[in-house]
Amino acid sequence: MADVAFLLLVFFMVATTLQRDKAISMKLPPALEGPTEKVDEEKVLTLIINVNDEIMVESTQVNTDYDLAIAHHLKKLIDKKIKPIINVKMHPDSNYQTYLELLSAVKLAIRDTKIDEAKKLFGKHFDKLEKEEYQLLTKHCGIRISEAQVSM
Amino acid sequence: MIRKEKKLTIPEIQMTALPDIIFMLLFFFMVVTVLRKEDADKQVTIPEVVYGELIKNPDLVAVSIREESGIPLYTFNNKNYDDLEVLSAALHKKYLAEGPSKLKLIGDRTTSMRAVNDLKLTLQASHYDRVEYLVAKAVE
Repeated sequence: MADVAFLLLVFFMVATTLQRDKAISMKLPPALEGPTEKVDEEKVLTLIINVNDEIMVESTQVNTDYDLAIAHHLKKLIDKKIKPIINVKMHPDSNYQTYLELLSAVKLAIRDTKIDEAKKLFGKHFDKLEKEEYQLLTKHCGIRISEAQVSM
Repeated sequence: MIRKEKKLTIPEIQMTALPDIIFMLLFFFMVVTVLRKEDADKQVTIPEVVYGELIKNPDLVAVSIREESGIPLYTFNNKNYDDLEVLSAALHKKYLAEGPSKLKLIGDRTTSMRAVNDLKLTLQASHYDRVEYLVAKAVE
């Protein structure tokens, strides 16, 4: 009896992953003061959530795999040596869930883009980069996220 | 003086409680285990928490948001707020007392982005600029 209990105990101890709170972390910009900054339209990758909670990537409606569509556009911009600005526009009546789905996809797309660029620049996986290499990669990609609430 | 040699005896260890401890640990791991299903890297996940669980913790800065008949209601430190200015004052008080920290923003799935964005502006003004977004999970 004790042997069986031990066996089960070892199994669960090995197989356990304690559930931790998963969250999407974002840094909010400081409260707006003074004139707004104008950016080159060429740099901007526009993502829209409309009133029906549909997601559009550069005016094309995407129903699944948002991350792949976003990563595709990011890659094109980075290949042109442009540091992209991801502009997330949402309708005020769109849902929080859709917003988080999109934000999650944006984070995934940025990570995928960085993995590809790390391979190109340093010939190794993103997770194995040294601190200096990581800083260089971040500078090279230079991806920024902006958000706006727009009535469409 | 002649000493009588004592016999060395190994003290007995009481093992009676061992199965109880093993069973207790076993049940603990059986209850908390979440078996991994898919590669986390390739999954677009929406982070979920059980509604109200985090809000009750006074040490954690967490604000929940839900809408009732289209009117946004906020919960912070176990208190409900319907006025963002009052909430802002409460948040600012916490900020002054404890300094900057991360804030968890927990919203219902169907909360409108209008209400979320208004709350974000309040957070900016209250110096909480590092936000973690979570979705409130309905208790089954």
